[in-house]
Amino acid sequence: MGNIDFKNTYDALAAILPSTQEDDLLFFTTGFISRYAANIISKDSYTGSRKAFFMCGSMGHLLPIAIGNLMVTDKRVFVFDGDGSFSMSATALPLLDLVRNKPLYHFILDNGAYESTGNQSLESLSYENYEQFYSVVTTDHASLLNFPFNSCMPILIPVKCGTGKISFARVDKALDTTFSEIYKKMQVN
Amino acid sequence: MDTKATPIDELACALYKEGITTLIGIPCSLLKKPLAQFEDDPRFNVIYVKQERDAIAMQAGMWLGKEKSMVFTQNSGLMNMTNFISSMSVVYNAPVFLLISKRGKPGLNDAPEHTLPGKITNSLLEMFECEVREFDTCSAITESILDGDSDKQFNSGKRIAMIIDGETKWEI
Repeated sequence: MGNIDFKNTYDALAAILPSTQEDDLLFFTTGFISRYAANIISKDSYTGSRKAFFMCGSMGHLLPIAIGNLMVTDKRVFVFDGDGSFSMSATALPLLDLVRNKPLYHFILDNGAYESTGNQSLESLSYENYEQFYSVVTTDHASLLNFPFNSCMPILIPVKCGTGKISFARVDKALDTTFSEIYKKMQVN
Repeated sequence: MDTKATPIDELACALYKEGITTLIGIPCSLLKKPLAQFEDDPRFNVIYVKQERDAIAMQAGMWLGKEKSMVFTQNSGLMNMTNFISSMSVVYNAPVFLLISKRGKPGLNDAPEHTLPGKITNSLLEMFECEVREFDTCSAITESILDGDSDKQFNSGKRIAMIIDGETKWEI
């Protein structure tokens, strides 16, 4: 990693927020980011009328709130997530399609830690943690899968499928097996 | 051709009249009839999310823009919303408007994974200070929506959970 100019998320927010305008809608994630932002925008240099939402609890829910809001507004929406809260937002990423071409500015203040709970470190945010990406679209692709164990792991394998119901009985019977029995089976070499 | 409005037509009209035209959630087989109809109705925007918590968060975000919406979910999905309801909706008094399909209703034969959720759904909602309304017909839901004054509900931040189950009749 190169030099980091911002020594903490407060400095990053203090540098970014002056570029926002009075009419912008600002969404801050729970924890220190909300706390810092509330402090910054309450200062005299701001008009004090910033339209801000400070998340209360509910870590990882800020993005869908902002998307829901952006669906019904023409204002610019700024989202300030942490790397931890952003990682919890993965299920909301497809919803970005609902606000395509609308003014969403999603900042991730990536300090590599859960700071407000004691600075516990987080693994890298990057999806590049997958060493390989192999897209399976056809049955030919599937038959070519030879699971190259021990090389370039982990691998992400999305498989595109259509829909179509096939009727089978429920797997209730399988539930007769206890978790500990499955556990034992998995321990057998 | 029979042009008589069906109970689901009337439910759609009630929602539209109340300005609730965005429906967000994760489907359940118990909701497939109304959802299929809402999807085909150009007045409605049906959004399928990946996690129930995203639906309820979007509902809050839309309300910040003064747009009402309804979140639909199976009762199992309620478990995925509890953090948001307890830590955000309750604290901020954000409105919650849910249509919940209750699987595992006591007395009905259902898959085993629904048994406990079916037993605890109502009490869980009550713990989160949601007003619980249970319906056995589609018309009863419509009536409740029309009587409910959704503007007042959303403005006051009231939490309402409308529950249907495997015995709810969509044709009546």
